[in-house]
Amino acid sequence: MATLQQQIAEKFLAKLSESKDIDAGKIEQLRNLLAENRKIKTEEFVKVFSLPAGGDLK
Amino acid sequence: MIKLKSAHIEEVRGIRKLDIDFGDGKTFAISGPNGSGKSGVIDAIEFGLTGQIGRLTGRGTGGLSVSDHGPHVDKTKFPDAAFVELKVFLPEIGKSATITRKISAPKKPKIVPADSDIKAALAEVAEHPEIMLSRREILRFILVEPTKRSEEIQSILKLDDIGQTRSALNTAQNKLQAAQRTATAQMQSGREALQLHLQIPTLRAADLLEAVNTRRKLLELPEIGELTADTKLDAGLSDAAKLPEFNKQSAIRDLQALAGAAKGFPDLGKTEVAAILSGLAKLAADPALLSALQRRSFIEKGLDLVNSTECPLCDHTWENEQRLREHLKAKLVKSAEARKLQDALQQNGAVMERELIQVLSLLGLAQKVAAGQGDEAFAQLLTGWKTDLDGLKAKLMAVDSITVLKDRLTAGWLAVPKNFPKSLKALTEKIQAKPDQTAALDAQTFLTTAQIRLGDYREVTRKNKAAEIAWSSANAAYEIYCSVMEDELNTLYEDVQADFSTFYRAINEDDEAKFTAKLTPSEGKLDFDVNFYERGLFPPGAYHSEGHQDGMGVCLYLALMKRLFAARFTFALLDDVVMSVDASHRYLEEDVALPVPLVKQFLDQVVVSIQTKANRALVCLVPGIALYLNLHCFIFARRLDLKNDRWAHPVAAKLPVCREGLESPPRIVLLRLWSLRRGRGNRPGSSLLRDALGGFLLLCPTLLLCLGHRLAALSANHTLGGLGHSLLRGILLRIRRRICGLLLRRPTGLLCSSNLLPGGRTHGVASRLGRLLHVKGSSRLTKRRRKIMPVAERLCSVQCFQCGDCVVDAATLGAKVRKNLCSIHV
Repeated sequence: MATLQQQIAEKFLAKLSESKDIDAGKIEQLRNLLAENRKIKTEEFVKVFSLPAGGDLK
Repeated sequence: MIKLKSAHIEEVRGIRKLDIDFGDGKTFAISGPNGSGKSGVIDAIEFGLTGQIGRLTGRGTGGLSVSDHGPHVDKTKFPDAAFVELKVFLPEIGKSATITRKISAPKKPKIVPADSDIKAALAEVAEHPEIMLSRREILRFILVEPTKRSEEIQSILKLDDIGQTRSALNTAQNKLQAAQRTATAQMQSGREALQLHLQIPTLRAADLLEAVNTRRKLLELPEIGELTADTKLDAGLSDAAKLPEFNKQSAIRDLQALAGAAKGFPDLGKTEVAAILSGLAKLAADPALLSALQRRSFIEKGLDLVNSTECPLCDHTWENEQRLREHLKAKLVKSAEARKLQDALQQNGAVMERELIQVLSLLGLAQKVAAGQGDEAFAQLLTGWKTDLDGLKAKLMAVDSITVLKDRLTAGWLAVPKNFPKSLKALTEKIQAKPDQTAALDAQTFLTTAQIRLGDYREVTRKNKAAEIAWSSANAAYEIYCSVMEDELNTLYEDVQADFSTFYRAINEDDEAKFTAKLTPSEGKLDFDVNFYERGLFPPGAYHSEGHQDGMGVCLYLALMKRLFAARFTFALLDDVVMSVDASHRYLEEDVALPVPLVKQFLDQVVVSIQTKANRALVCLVPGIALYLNLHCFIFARRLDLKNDRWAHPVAAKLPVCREGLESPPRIVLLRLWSLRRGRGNRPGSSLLRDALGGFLLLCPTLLLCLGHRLAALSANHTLGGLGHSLLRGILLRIRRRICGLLLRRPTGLLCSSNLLPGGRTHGVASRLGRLLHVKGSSRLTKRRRKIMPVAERLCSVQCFQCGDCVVDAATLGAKVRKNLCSIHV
């Protein structure tokens, strides 16, 4: 049985995908972070949201 | 989830050594009077499974710890000697295992066999200390403030992780918002620098191109028709890179802009500085506030760094990470006023930071001019000042550093160097005195400088855009997470609310069949109202009785557990909880109670501690005389037949276990005559007079003790009224105390019994003792003594409660029984 945390994470990611405010690359990074099922630090989120749109390739 | 098969406990809490066999993992009650060690058994099992002891952690347990207070009071210096060994069955993987956990190493249990699936299953159990519920904990759900209830329930449902994610997202978006504001301020400065050079009122492409094309035309360069991201304003200039950057008019404008801004320096940020100084004055006047604020910043940092059970601030090791986080969060909550002040300081600091960015931009332009013109002294002055202001900017971004800026803010926060106005004026005059550049050179340097500033502006604009996107992403993610979390929690609370109401109706169906409840979550709170006999919704503590409130606590706990574990909630440890259920609403048999219909809905196995009357074991010295021992040394494990809503067979299912090595030895509390007649006199309250008359070996002190005890009991149980009652009680208690003092110097008695009617109370007591005093064979007993066969045939040895070494074997016991058993101490 999925924990409440996991249920919320799944719905959160699904809703994020519908949002135009955040690109797919960041959503994927968030998915990876949340899948680790551990406490996520602020700086990890900051790093994900600060990624250039479309990924970090230059 | 798990099934407990047996427990071996040594030197844990109040228990020196104890073995309990839970058979095939059925429900058991550990019953006994106060101080008999019931809760100790529950604590030990909880420790064995989770490495924690609930009553030594959490709110109100400051100064208590498992390492210091987990071992028996006589073994605190030998925590290695304190351990629990549990044999368990894990139904989900179909395996049995033994887990041994020492108080000295609560996080390192020895698991046999060490299969990975067994370890994983036991690790999961260890993460759920909420399988244990004590009476003092149940009220935390019911009568606490809504904010506390929200915290407690979030804690029990492991919502902390969700809260932590939300909090991290929130902090991330705040940080990114601050970064975006800084980037915007930098972009603003870059734009102003470009506009200042181009001498255009607005930064529109048309205005820019007009200013640039005028110079390009002068240089006979093709005009730029469209400004794109790749457009170079100085395109076509030969050796553009080698051209001097100095443009006289532009440099003068830069210096004049700085001079103009400098006139406003005394008033710059005046309001914010005043607000910060006011906050700092408040802190100075209230050292406690300052302390709270300092701690707050410290604790916030610590909270961010928590990633194990070890506190990053003091290295103290906690029971678990969650407790540590709760502890730090509670400290943050306490400093609410400090938080307000903190916010105000931060907001004002942020405004000043943005103003500093503008100043730094102007200083940067002037510094380039000074360096270009060979004014080393002024260039160094400006470089030093910029460095100083950069440091100040960093300090304005953190509260703890703002608090040390009082002197700086009072004396003038920009700390304008003494020679700055004079040096600025001198440099301006020096440049103004220079011969005008030729029109061609002016146009060339204009274009090169314009290109440099446009490049700078493009760079800060790009950074600002990225910062905007980052913040907007973080903000969207935070909003969506909050929305999803709120929806899920509302659903969760609705489920809990429905289950709670159902459970409560189940144990109160006779008088509250229409009971309903309402859980209302709101900003950090969880309001809880219950229907009081259809009169409306009220807080649980408003009208319901204490018993009802306790019952609500148990029901809410079960509802939460159901939500947390669903069908996997099959095991629980309930410490003194069931007695708190309203007496008329619980299943009663003998002296114990359990809301059976409720519990059996989920649980395969419950180990529950239940307080009973003081167990006085019947002890027969010789025919006609019996002793009552106050059996604080005994606790009884009873099996519960969940299918039939009853305790299993009252005698056969009771597994007596002895808690050895009490802090004080068992004492003779009453010596009284005992009728040998079957069916009579087997009740402590039976006729004292009849017993007294029938006795022929009665000693005087003994009689007095009997009388004293009996009359004291009468005086306590019956209203004698006022002074008469007090006097009689006082006199009798003094007599009893005196006689008890005499008697207690004698060895304590041997456990034996007479009048062993099958199914009777004495038989029950004897059967309880039978397990302890197990005997094979009874051939040595005389025919008359066969009356005590049900006990005697189980006797094999008696172990001394006091020293633990004096073990009497069956033969000796038989002989002693034939003589006078009171000489053997147990």
